[in-house]
Amino acid sequence: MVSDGNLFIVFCRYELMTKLKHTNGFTLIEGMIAAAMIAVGLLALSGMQANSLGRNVDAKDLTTVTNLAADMVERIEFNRKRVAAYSGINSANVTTKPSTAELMARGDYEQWAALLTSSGLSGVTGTVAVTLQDANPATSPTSLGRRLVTVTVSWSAVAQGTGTRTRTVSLSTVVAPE
Amino acid sequence: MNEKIRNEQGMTLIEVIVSMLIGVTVIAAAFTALTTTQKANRANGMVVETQQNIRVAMDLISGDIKNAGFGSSGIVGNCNAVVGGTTQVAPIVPADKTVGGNDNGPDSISMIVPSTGSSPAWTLANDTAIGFNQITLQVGAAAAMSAAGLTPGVNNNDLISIGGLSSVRVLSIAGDTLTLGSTVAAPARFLVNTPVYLMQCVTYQVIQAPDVNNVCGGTAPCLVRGVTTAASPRQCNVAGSPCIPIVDGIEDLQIAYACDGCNNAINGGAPNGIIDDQGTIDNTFNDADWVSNNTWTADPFFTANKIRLAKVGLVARQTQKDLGIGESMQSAQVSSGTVNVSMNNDHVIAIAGTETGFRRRTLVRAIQTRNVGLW
Repeated sequence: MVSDGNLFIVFCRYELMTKLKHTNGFTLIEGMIAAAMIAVGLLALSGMQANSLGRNVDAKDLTTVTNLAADMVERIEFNRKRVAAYSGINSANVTTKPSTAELMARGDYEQWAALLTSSGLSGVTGTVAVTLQDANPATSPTSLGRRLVTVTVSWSAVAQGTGTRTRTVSLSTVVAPE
Repeated sequence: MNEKIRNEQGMTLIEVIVSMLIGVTVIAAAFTALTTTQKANRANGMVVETQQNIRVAMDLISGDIKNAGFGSSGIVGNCNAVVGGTTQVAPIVPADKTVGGNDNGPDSISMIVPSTGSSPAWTLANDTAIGFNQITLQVGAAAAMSAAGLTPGVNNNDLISIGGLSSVRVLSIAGDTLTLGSTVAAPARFLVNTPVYLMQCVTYQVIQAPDVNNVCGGTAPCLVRGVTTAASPRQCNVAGSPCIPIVDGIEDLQIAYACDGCNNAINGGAPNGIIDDQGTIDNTFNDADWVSNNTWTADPFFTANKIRLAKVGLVARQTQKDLGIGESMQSAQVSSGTVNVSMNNDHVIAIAGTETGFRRRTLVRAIQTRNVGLW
């Protein structure tokens, strides 16, 4: 035990430094205080561990959520002729589900909502906003009818310390019906 | 001074024992902190790696599914499927592990995708004529294309795409000049620096133990990608396969497909921009319309060239077993159980025995097949 030896040398030097009077080494109290100080230091170390693991969980959530948003973007890309049907949908509000006339959009809504639910994230909600970029193609035949599609997924992440914080990921793309 | 030292009585045995006790306690605590930190760091690193792996695998596969077909025509590699009663080329060739039953392992997928090089760039060295049957590439590009698998005059391995617009066979290579198997008719003309792509039939497959070619480097399972020449079903895990490992720790790959114009009971089998119902025709788009168990050969409708959406499910796990972050060398993190890829597929990974002790991640994403429309 080299470390014990070092400790012993420290003891010897301590005695010399105090001019070798009636010194009887560390008191128990002193030793305990030293141990307590080191314990505080080690606690801080474990706090760093927790912090690092927490960041990892954040990274996992981000990967999952980005993937969920990309899923919806791909579905809208396929059904781009009827992109307007996705406007204003909210996975947490069934009244925003597209009507049965919008067969694909309705199916996408249902499947996406199920995917969000099964992702394991707490309080996860997905919304889609569709904004017309050009003149209304219904009245302007030359309009390209491009639409800005923004898919947003928000969820409750565990915050440092206590409580939760709401985090959000948005993917935007411009879709033009052919 | 010396006298004083001689007169020093030193510490009593009790004092030494107590001081040693305190010292040992402190050192033990410090060492525990050190080993725990080290193990946590290791576990952390492996989790990060696993997440990175599954993200990369999803990006690579989805990127190629988006490209699949690439507006090409002609025979490319081994990407054949029964279409219209005859075996012909298809942009995407699904390969379900167990067609018509529950899977006992990962699926694979083959696709026609373009590949290109950057140094030297695979581009035209000068403008072509209007209507042409020869092209000249940048110095060294033809050799690089040959090294990548371009074999002039050999069916399946000689198709290139000029600018993503004209796909032609290559008859012969002389220096950096490629003689084409057919004339690209007027008014087609391509300008200098137009990219030239080599069209290949690539296969994605999860290699499980036993790893015949040891492509995973002893850490099977892993995801491999390669130009396979083996006959259907496409196989990377056969001796001498040229597949190369691309992502470590990918344990499962499941793909379900949705198609349009593949059910002749709907719209007369003509595509209408709406995914066709499978099974019961209920006029909705639901999970049942994703096909995971099929050979895609039902003449002439239910064929691979009708695929419009692909839903990719991936499971990644740590490349090495988790050792936990406690003092013992065993992890209780992941015990036996199952991992469901959570899609309407038929494969659930049963974790038992040697498969325990790995952290796993799953991702599922639908991908539109953007470039199959011309087939």
